[in-house]
Amino acid sequence: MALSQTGIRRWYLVHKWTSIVCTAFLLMFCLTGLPLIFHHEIDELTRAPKMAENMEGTASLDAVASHARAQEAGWHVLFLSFDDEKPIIYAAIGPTLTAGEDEGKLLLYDARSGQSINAPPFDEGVMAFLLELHAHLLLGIPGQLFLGLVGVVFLVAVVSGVVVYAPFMRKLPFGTVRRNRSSRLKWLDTHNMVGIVTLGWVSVVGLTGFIITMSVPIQGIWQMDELAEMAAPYENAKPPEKLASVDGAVATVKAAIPDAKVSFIAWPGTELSTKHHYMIALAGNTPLTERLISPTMIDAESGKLTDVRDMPWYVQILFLSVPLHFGDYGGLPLKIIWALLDVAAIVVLVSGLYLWLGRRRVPIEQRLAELNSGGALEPQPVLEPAE
Amino acid sequence: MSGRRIGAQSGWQIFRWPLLMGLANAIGLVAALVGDGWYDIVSWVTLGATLVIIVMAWRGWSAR
Repeated sequence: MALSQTGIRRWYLVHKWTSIVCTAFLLMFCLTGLPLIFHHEIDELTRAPKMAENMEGTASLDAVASHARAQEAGWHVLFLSFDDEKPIIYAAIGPTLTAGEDEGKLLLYDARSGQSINAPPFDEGVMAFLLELHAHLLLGIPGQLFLGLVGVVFLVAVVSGVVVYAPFMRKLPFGTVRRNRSSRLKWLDTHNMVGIVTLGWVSVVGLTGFIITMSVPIQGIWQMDELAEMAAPYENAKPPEKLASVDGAVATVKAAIPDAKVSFIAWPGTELSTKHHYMIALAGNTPLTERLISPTMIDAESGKLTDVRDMPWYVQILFLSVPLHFGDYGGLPLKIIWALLDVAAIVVLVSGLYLWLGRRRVPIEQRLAELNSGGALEPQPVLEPAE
Repeated sequence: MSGRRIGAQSGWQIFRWPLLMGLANAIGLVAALVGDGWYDIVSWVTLGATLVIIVMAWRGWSAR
């Protein structure tokens, strides 16, 4: 698949311009992402809620929900969710049933006693700020979608980088780094070597990051598709006046599916359920299936189980993208490797930036000649500073 | 290896090592997702190998 001269030139320019467009954002991703890999560990050290020890029991979810609802006059319970490591229940409340994260509040309860736990708010602190910057550019959902666009440009930069790698390496063995010639050549070889070696990891983290930026549209599709289908039989029914017991709903699910592990419970009328159902999300027991929740629908009036299904493929892809992006699924060693690969990605970005900033010393014709020669013909820099 | 001149390589010769690295990365990324214990170790070894290769290549393979 030898490329023509014009073909190489085009791909070279595609790589250059797509990289220029997204390098600043990618540096932001890599720099904020580095501490975020250890988000959980840092939170544990700095702001873990104090838990009572040696306690037994199971909290009443109805009691937790009614206590949470009473915290703000006129507010609603949106969902309860269960921590997968500690006996903590998170109760989300909001001024409306469809309130977003930034309008609502998250309250913590002990899953054994049902007692309220005092904890600093989730949206405060350095880590929350870094996450907001990393995921939303501090601009909410529009920022998230914009970063998705950056992700697409980045994937084009990666593909074009691989394409120009081929002619460049035609006469160089894999992994060549010529450190003793010129500073530019050393950085160029480093850029190519680290770039090609980390290609698999970088592509997966980039692609899954892009998929995560699409979470709002993906949720929207699910609402219009399967959720609408489950709501259809209730189209003409009045919203339930009095909600059935949540504890009863969970007991019904556990009776029907004995090994069910409840991950969260969405209230009727919220984004994640119909107007007539509690949506009880069940998680599996392996690292893979604990990410793939299955929605179970409980009629919020009668308390009866009406539907159990798996999420459609596009939601499952979103769920699986989360661990593959964060690297939080293989213990601390995987996180450390993730962090070092992140540093390697920074090396690729910085070396690319260096090559671009130093470009005026080397005319494009010479750079292309270098590519065409299979990396053997080193351009003669106009003003190469002594090393 | 560094600086050694070789004849023109085919696409396969250029990309065989990168493909192997990509395959190792793919195995590593999936392994820890599928299971715990040994699966995690497979993931650490294959993804960690990427870092080892970077350091070795940068030092010039044979250099100590």
